[in-house]
Formats: sequence, structure tokens, C-alpha cells
Amino acid sequence: MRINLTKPIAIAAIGSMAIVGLAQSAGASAPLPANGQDGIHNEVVAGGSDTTYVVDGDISTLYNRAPGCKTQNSLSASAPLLADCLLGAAQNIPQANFNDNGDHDIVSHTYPTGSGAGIAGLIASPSVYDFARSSRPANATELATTNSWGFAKDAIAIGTLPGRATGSFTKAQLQGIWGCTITTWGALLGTADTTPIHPYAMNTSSGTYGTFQTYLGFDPNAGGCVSKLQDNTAPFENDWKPVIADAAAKVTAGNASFAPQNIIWWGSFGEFKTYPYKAPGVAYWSFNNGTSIVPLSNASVANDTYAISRFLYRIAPKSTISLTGTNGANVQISDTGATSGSAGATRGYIKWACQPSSYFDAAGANTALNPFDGSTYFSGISSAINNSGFQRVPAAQRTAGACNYTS
Amino acid sequence: MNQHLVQRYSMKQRMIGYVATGASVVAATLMLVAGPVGATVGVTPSNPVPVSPGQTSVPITVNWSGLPTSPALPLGRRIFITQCKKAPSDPTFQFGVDCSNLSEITLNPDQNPAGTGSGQFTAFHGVEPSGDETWGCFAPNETPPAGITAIPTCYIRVTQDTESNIADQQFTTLSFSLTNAVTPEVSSAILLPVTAAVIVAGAAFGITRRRRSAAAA
Repeated sequence: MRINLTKPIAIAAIGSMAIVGLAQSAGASAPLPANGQDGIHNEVVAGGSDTTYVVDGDISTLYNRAPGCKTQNSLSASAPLLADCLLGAAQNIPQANFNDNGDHDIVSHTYPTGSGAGIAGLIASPSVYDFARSSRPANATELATTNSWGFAKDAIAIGTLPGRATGSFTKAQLQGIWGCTITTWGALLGTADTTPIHPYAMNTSSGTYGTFQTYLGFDPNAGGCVSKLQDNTAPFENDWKPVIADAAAKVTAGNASFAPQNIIWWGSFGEFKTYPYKAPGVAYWSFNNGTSIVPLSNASVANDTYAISRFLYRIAPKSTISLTGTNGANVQISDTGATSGSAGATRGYIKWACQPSSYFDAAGANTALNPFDGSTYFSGISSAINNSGFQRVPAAQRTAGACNYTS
Repeated sequence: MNQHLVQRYSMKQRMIGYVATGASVVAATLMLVAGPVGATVGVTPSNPVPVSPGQTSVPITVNWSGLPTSPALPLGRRIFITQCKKAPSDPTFQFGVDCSNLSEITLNPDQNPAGTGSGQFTAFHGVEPSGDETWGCFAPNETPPAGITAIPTCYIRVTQDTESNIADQQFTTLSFSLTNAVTPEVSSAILLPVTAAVIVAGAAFGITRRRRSAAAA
């Protein structure tokens, strides 16, 4: 966020422009308040989830580089200031550019702290963030002042290390492992093997922790059989290396049961398959729904036959952006919210990133094409999501454009 | 060495350098286009895979061999299998754009020991299933829905470690043929001559019979 002392001047100038503009040439175009635009390049700061740090950063990069207004390209003591939008007739770029990043706002992401901490920073007064990255939905308390915009889909992967043959688990078996009623591999697999299972804990600020906690119905860190790192902290989510190192240290210290094949942990499916460095050699287990064994795949995550799936979210204040009017799957977003400043810029980004494919026409008439590769931004956003190991919200689960909205 | 010899020596060195650099560039390009040398990938049943007109998914077996191994992962490397619309030789190929993300499956490292293995894959037939794409894999004589580009030759992509690994990626073609469809071109080609032959034979028989009758009378 930025306190911009020039904003009142600029708003007044834009207001004047709106009036004067009536008498000016028909070639002039202008920022769209309904897209949160005020003609000033505002800065948006997001924080929270580790899981969505890279993917939302990539989508933000697309937005930051998207076409927008014609800018003031020299130092100026009065509005428009350097890099803000030119006013009136001088703003003679296609109006379509204002359907992308009209103000050339900048969306930036602070280093991950976990979804819970991100949402806490958002709803704090004064707020630390303009929106929160989250890999879990906002809870009822948080939804009192915010909305959740699910923009991608992921799953919780249950993994084991090399040396342990993979199989499948039921929900009851997972509850037994982290609830410490299933404590040996034999008890899990129906054999006489008395080798201990060593489930690990996770940082409680993490949305990946929150998703698993909700699925199990209890705190997965609480059981006496659940291991923490040797410094008595729960490992940060989505990186197996500290867990592997911790188990190896325990073996070195004389506890041979912490051999790699006896460790079990959970994390983001998308993260683990995209960044093998964070999960070296890890193998994922299938889900047993009682009648069939469901492997973990993009299709089984999309249709929820793999049971522990989840959306990845941007969480924003209701005052920043809320749906209004007619909305639905693949329907262009109808919203209300902030029209200026960093809140307006946040509205512009969240709205743009959730628009359906029909908003981004291939002809570049309604929205500009990506000037770097000529593709539509819908395609670019899809690619960013796919490249991070996730998938777009499946069509049947969309409630707001290409997103899943919870208020 | 005198100056002339030094010049000749350095020119020779430079030529060797150019050739080596050129060879490296060509080799690197081939690696990117064709993946590791000696690696193969195939599908069962073989192309064209038979499908019925309304069939949207087709179970196939994908097998691969010769993928590079890693000393750091002696028990195998994670496998990714995806259905794509472009060949890697297409300079515009991007896996995140040209492959169906929803079709992707990933197999555990132990299913790829020593860079070789096989896995069950559900290929889609018809429109790409996400609903966001405007392409699909169709048999040659199928008509796609409006707005959908029919790709007659799709590709199965196999790579390892991560889906973005283009150095190890391997492709094989995937095409479909309709099993119980009416194929007018073939039918006409057969029916028309047969019909003509029947008519001609009938006419000849009739004429002969009439002549015989006339002769008898």
C-alpha cells in the first residue's frame, strides 16, 4: 500500500477531465472506476500462502505488464505525475486497454507467512495487506468482512519416501495415522509388520495445514505420535527437505525407526509435482473411497473423486470487491467495490484475473492481447496456473466468471 | 612458430571451435525437439486407436524406455503423461498451452525404474475436456462442434521429474478411427460399380432372353 498525496489532485483532475471530455475529441479514452481505476498507478501488496506464492506472482506479472493507459513519460509537478495516465484528449489509446490493467497498477507479493497469517494481516486494523493469498477458504469469522475468490484447484497429496511401496488410504486410515490409533505399518496394511509409522506435523499458519485439519476433523499436530522437528517446531509446508533431514538426524541419534521409508507427510500436490527439489523421490498414495482406488491426477482432483481437493484463493475485503447483479460460471464479473487507490487497484486485479474466456477476445477488441506473445490473457493465466502444477477451477464449480466465489 | 604459423594454428583452432559449437547447438536443438537419444515412447493399442462416435475417453497403455536416470534418485524419477495438440518440432510448442492440463497423469518414481516403464492413461477423444480450450482430437472423418478445431493427429507426451521438463520429453502420435461409422466414400466406391454391373447384366440378360424368344418364335 502507498499513501499517495497526489491522489486528491489526480481525482480532481480526472473529474475535470470527465466534464471537459464531453467537449473534447471522440478519440479520448478514460479509466474505468468500475474496474477500480483512477488514472494513478497504485501499488497492491498481497501476503500469506506459500502454496500460491509463485502462481499468483506469475499471474500478477502478466497483469503488471498488461497494456493500459498512455502514460505521462516525463517528470511533472502536477497531475498526471510520471507514469500516471495522461488525461483528456491526450489519452487516445483504445478504450479496450482499460479492460486490462488500465492504470498500470503494480501487484506485488510479500514472502510467504502462511495463509492464516496472511488473512490475519488483511483483516487487521490497519491492514498489512490489500488482499491475502490463501490455500484454504476464509472461515465464517473472516468472511464477515472478506470474500474468497477461488482461482485455481489443488489437492492434498499424502506422500512417503523411497523404500516404501505406495498403496491407498481411506479417510479413516488417515484419521488413524494422525490420530495415533494406527501406529504401525502392519496396522495400516493388514500385516504383522510392527515398524512404527512416523507422521509429521505442519506449521499451523499454513492453509495446507488448515485444509488437512478440516478434512480429518481434528488437529493433525496434536497426537503424541506426530513428530516435530528437533527444535520442536512444526515444519513449514510444502518442503520435504527439513523433514528428511530431521528424520536422518534422529536415525543418527540412535532411533532407527525414523528411516526414510517410515515417514509420512502431506502437502500441496501442485507444489510437489512442479518442484521435485522440494520433494525428492516422494511417492503419492491413492485414495480408497470404499469401492474403488482413485489415483491422484488432475482429473481426479477436478471431479473430486480424489477426496482431499481444495481451491486456492485470493481473499479481499468486501468493501474492495463484492459480487452484485447477475453472476455465474463463465459469466463476466458483475461487481461493486472500490473505485480508486490501492483498494481500487486490488479490485481491478481480482476482477481481471477471474474473468471468463469470453472477456478476453482473441481479436484484441475488448481487451488487448499480450504484447509479448500475442495470446489472450485468459490463455496466459491458464498457462501460469498449469505451469505451477494446479488447474483452473473446473467449469462445473465456477460461480463467478472463471472463479469460485464465497461470501 | 612464426607469425604465419601462429595465425594458421589459431584459425584451425577457431574452425574446430566453430564446428564444435555448431555441433553442440544442433545436438542441443535435437535434444529439445526429440528428447534424449535412444529414448522411445509408444501406445497400445497402436494408431489409429478405434473409437465409437460418441466415445469421449479411451483407455490406452503408454510405454517408454531410455529416459535418463539420476544417481540422486536411484529408485526412479516421477513420470508425467499428457495429451497434446502439437508436436515438439513445432517451434511454437509450449506444454502449458498446447497440452491438455486436465489429461495429465503423474506416476510415482517406482513406476519408472531405470528410465523405463508403462502406465495406464485415459486419452480423450473429441473436445478437450476442460471446457476452456477450443481444440480436440478427432478421427479424420469426424466433424467437430462449431468453434472447435479438429486435430487429426494428437500427441502423447511423456517426461519426468516435473511437467516442465522439455529436455527429457518424448512424444508419440495419437490418432483415432471410428469403429461403427458409416463411411460414404468407401460405400459409394463399392456400391456404384456393383449397382452398375447389376443393371448392365440385367439388361444384357433381358436382351438375350428377348432375342432367344424372338428366335424361337
